[in-house]
Order: sequence, then structure tokens, then C-alpha cells
Amino acid sequence: MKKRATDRERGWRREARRLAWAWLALLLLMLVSLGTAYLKLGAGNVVAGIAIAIVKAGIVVWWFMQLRRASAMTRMAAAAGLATLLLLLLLGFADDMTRDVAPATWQKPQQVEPVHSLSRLREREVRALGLVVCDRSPA
Amino acid sequence: MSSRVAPVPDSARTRRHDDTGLRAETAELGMWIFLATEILFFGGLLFAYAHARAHWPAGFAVAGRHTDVVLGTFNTAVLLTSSFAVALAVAASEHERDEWAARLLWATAALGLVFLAAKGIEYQHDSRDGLVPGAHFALAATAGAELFFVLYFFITGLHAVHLAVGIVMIGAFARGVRRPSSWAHAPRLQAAALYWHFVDVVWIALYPLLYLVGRSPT
Repeated sequence: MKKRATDRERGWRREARRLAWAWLALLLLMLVSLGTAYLKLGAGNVVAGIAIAIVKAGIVVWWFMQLRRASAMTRMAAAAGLATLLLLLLLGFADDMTRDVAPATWQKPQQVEPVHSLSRLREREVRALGLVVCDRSPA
Repeated sequence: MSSRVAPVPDSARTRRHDDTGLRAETAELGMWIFLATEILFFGGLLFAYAHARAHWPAGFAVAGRHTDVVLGTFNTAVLLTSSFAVALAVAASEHERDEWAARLLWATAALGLVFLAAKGIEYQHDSRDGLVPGAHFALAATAGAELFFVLYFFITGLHAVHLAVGIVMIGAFARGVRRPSSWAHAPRLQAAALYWHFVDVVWIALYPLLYLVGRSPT
């Protein structure tokens, strides 16, 4: 009985230590990610940022979410989610990657002219065309 | 109600209901399937971000420099720590240390609240600096900058909603886990923890995309 209690105590400590290491690694990677963002790496900046994020997500999924001891079925469900995300990104970018893009010049968003000035505009157009505007409303 | 239900043979009960291993696996699998759909929820936004950034790289760099990197990094550390706390709480519950599990779950919920408070301060700063998309957007002259901030507010807002749900859920588990025969133990606790970790993973992806873009000297 006493031995079982000690075993359990040992198991808890081992598990806690493992999780603590994973947490320290995550914080360290966060700082590395922050540091690389301020280096002049060109395209390397975005690559480093995303690569470190993937490693961090991997640590969370493997040790915190315990995919390392999950059943094959659960792992498949997780993999299906990831695969569908990759499919979405890949097919989404397929269009952009396979044709030349001629970007339009940036247009500052503008507010549509209010309705009352539009009706005045129409009145002016009608006059310019020389048409007679009949006012049928009762006096 | 129960009298109308046909009695379950003992053999089936053992197989289908009392097998804790199977129950744990079912709870875990169910949550993973839900999270797989959530991946696509955020995935669509992630694609929108990637697509817009590919078209307006300079605008995204200018806009990214205007996010609050100090609060963003602080919040990343807070969420990573909360994930550690909830993982530790699950381990504590599994090793029958319910006192510890309860404390760690309260700590997790508290860290979640700290995150939301910091995010609120950040939104306030953004609003003060004219970074809310609309008529008075400060970087309107830079192509793509407004698009960055539309996505920034939408994605971080959606993430905050997810986190708020998580805080309520983890709080409920923190209240329940102290009672030995309570519902709030593994495998339900493990499933709730999976959700919390997922919200953390989303933030891990957002951190370099929203806070670290455009920081390198040009």
C-alpha cells in the first residue's frame, strides 16, 4: 500500500517535471521568436516566425494536449484537422501561384454620395436634356 | 422515465458505459473532432490574412509595426503559462490531488482574465492611436494597412470570445473538481483542457503574424 503511494507520488512528480520543461521551452521559444523578428533577415523573418510557432504548437499538442499517449483514432482526428487546413491553404493559394497578378492601384475607401444629392443630380440631368418635368402632385 | 427504458444487460453496461478507458477515449476523440472543425474556422481567417499579406506586404509591415509588441508578448507568456497550469491540473486530478487541481484551475481562469484585461487595454490604445478601421483610420494612406487592422480586430476578437468561453468552463471545473465523486474529473476535465490548449495554439500562430510582422530594420 505504502509502495503504491510512493509510486504514485513519483509518477506525479515526473509528470509535473515533464510539463514544466515543456513550459520553459515554450517561453524560451517565444523570446527567440521575438528576437529574430528584430534581425534583418529578409524573407527569413517570416520563415523564422512561422517555423518557431509550428514548433511551439507541436510542444503544446504533444505534451500538454497529450497526443503522445492518445489512441490512433484520436491522432487520426487531429491529423485530419491539420490536413484539411493545409488543403484549404494550398487550394486557396493555387490560383495566386499559377497566374500573374496585376494589382490594381489602391483606392481609398470612399463614402457613397447621400441620396438627396443624387436626386438633385437627376433633376439637373433632366433639365440638361430639355425635358419638361411635370409635377403631378396635387397642389 | 427510467422505467420505460429497456434494462441494459450487464455485459453491455460493462462494455459501453463503465469502461473508463473507453469513456476517456470517447471524450478525447469527441473534443479533437470539434477542434478539427475549429481549425477550419480560424483557418479561413488565416488564409484571408496570408492572401492579403501576399498582396500588400509593405502595408502589412507598416501596420504590424503599430501593434503593441510589449502587451502582445506579455499576453503570449500569460497564455503559455495558463496552458501549463491546466495541463498540470489534469495531471494532478489523475494523480488524485484534487486540492492542487482546483488551485491550478483557478489559476488558469485567472490568467485567462489577465489576458482579456491586457487585450482590453491594447484595444483602448489602438482606438486612441486611430488604428480602428473606419473614417478616421490613421494609416489610410498606406495601401493594405487598413486590411491588416480589419483582420487584426476580427481574429483577436474571435479568439477573445473563445477564451471567454474557456474561462467560464475552467471556472466551473475548478468549483467541481474538489468533490471526489464529482463530474469534474478526467475524462471531462481532460476534454475541457484540450479546448483551452487549442485557444493557446491559435494565439501561438497569431503572435508572429500580428505582433512580429514589420519589426526588422528595413
